[in-house]
Amino acid sequence: MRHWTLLKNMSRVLKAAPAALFLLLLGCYPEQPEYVEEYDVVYTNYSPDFNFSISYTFSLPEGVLLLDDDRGPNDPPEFIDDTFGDVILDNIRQNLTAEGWTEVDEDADPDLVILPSAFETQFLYFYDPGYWCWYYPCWGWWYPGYAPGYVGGYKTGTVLIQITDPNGVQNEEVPVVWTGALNGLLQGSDANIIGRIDRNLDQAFTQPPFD
Amino acid sequence: MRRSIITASLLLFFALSASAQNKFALTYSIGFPTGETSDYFNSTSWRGVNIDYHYFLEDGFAIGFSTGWQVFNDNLGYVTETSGTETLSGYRYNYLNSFPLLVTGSYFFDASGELTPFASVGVGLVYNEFSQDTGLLRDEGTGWPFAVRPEIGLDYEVSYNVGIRASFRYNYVASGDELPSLPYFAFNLGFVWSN
Repeated sequence: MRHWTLLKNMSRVLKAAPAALFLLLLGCYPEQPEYVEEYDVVYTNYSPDFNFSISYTFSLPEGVLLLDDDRGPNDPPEFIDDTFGDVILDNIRQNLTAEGWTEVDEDADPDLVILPSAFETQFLYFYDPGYWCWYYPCWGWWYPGYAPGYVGGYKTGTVLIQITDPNGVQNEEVPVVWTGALNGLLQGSDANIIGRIDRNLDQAFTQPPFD
Repeated sequence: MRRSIITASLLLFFALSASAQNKFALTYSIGFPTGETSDYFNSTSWRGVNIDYHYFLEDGFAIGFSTGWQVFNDNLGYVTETSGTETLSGYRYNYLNSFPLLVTGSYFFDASGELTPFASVGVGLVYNEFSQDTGLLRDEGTGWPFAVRPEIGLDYEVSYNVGIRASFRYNYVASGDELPSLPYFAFNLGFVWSN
């Protein structure tokens, strides 16, 4: 009798075991990031042919350009909200000044022209130089000695900064000597997003070739 | 002659079937990364399950198959990686889902008592799904590398044909299909039953 009870219980346990083990295994990607900043990515790439250790002059536009598929090359530029744009411009300014570079007006023939931009939702696989026709000669661009990667995703925001060398124009294409991209979820308060942008830009300027 | 061979084979098959004993095991598995696996995972895997089947050819010796699922995951914190001119930074989470599909040969020592020690070797393939997440980016690779899995264990018969199994395995998983070699040790505890 005791054996029968034991067998009956064992039988129940055996029947329940697969369900229990299945529950145990629920989610084959356990312990994913908890905080929104843990989804942030900082990506940088640069031309190995360009000497970054020289003190250059550089220019920055008045705002951070909003990239939007609906905007054509002849449309007036649209900037992201100054709340975020100013943080991006100030951070770039501070980091490049810390490198010994000097900001000059875009009319003062800067050695390098910085093109900060931002967009939502997904990366534009073809980044049309026409976005910058309002600011810069409406040429194409090329990436000397390297191929920039891309940062994609969904429900995300990306800040893309390109450092261009107007003196290296070849075949009406402007060389982009450095590319930096921050990608993250567009969630959190303004203060949270600003803090993340600031930290991630600082990170971008500690990565090669600026380290 | 051909008819004789077929008849003899059928007789042998029925004789084996009539005298055959089947043994099944369902075990919970705790995985311990070793080798190259420990380069990607520092943590013990508490998520694992195995299903084993043994078909006894003769007393003590059985052939069978073994399958299962082991999940490794680890939070490596903030990581910066540079390759050539490219640098990527972000919080890194690694995941490995490992599904072995092995043919096994097992020997059960002294099956007459309540305690039956056994040794087993499994050979086959492992379906590995290995992901390295950096922020929103996922670098994922899948493959079917070759695997060898020696095991020692103990079956304890609690009641007639029903018992508890404890075993220890080394899962050697070769590199292949653009995946690194991802071996691990595993301790298993679960149920075993026969008919």
